Amino acid sequence: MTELFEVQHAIERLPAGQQLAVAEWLQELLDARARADRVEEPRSTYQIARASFMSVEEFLKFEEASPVKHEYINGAIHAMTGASRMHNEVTFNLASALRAHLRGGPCKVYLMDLKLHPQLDSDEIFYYPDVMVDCRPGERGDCFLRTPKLVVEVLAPSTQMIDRREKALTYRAVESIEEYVIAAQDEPKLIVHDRATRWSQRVWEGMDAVAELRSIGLTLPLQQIYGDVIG
Amino acid sequence: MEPEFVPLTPGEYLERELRSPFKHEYVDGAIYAMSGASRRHNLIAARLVYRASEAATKRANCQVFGSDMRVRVEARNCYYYPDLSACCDPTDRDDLYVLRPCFIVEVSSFSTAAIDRREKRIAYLCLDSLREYAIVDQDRLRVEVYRREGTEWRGVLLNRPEDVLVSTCLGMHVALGQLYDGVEFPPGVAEPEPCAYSLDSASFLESS
Repeated sequence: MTELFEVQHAIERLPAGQQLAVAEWLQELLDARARADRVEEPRSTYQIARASFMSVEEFLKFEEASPVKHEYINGAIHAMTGASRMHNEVTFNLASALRAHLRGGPCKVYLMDLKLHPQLDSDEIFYYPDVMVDCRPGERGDCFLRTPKLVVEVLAPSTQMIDRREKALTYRAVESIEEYVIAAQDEPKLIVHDRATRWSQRVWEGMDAVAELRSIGLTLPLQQIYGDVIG
Repeated sequence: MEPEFVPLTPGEYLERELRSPFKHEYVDGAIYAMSGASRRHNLIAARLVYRASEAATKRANCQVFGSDMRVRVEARNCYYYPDLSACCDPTDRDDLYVLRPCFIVEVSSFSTAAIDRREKRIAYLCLDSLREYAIVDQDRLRVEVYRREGTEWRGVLLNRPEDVLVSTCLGMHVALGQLYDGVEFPPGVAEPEPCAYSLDSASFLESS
């Protein structure tokens, strides 16, 4: 295999995950050469990454080996960034309150690292919600959930428009989801989208407010979520 | 008692929108105000609308719109204002929105990139009439094109001045060198998240 087109053909036949590995290897090679040549101009990884869309199977394999988490939307993957301290504290407090309330029953609480792969008519999607409550033990897969009852996203500056727009739209299309809770990270504020009221939104604001999560029968003082986060 | 927000119907949205001094996008009951954009955004968008309109004059029934025209995505219950939309269907002539566009472009900035690449890609690619959806980066020479091939969508990355952005329904061909001519990029803008999928510029250029 010395001709360029032969190499290209061989790479084209590889699964997307391996194509990416080839691209990354090549990038490193070029970067090393650029450093040696003292070329200052920045170059970008995506210029040489050549692959078609990833299938669901390819994505799951790719994700297992990836050091960074990605969300998957119809063949395309989107890297996720790390979160702030406040984001982490709010998420943890919320999950703890849910767990304390649901302990002993069939419902379980899942946190940040588990994928949601909902059954949708036209879209193949994998998200990593901040918190999920799942009450159908029979439908839990090993590496993702399909039928959560409640989903929580804690807003961060870089992802809040995704959480408020795209994910609200997606979660409404997931039949099992009864409530979608959006939590602010830097002020005591919960917004609850409720299927039972045709997705009207209830907003609880302030340290003294007490939110109600109808789908799991939980009364939740915001003090409990934000009291030790916002000084 | 906590405040409650009841979703707007599409009819209520359109009625409000006609009276509103600001544009809003409508996403299944909720509305989001749109902000103004930079000089380079407008330069790129204006040039694209010009080139697309020029191409449309040679095609029967094709109309090209700038960012003041709504595109309605029925399957998602959304109304968006893309930077460019084109429609070649003579039965699609509602005064307020395009229902069956064949070409859509979003000129993308750091603040809109996630919506353009995620939410709007899901929505626009639901449109049976659409042939190409292009996301034009305002901060670097880079265009992501999603292009219908039979029943499949294919992603293509254009990032060289000689790469050509094509609209099949309009018969428009614009080289990126022309599209970005005279556009000054800001220094030190963070690289976008690399896309690990879709970058088949060679085959795209051959077949277009």
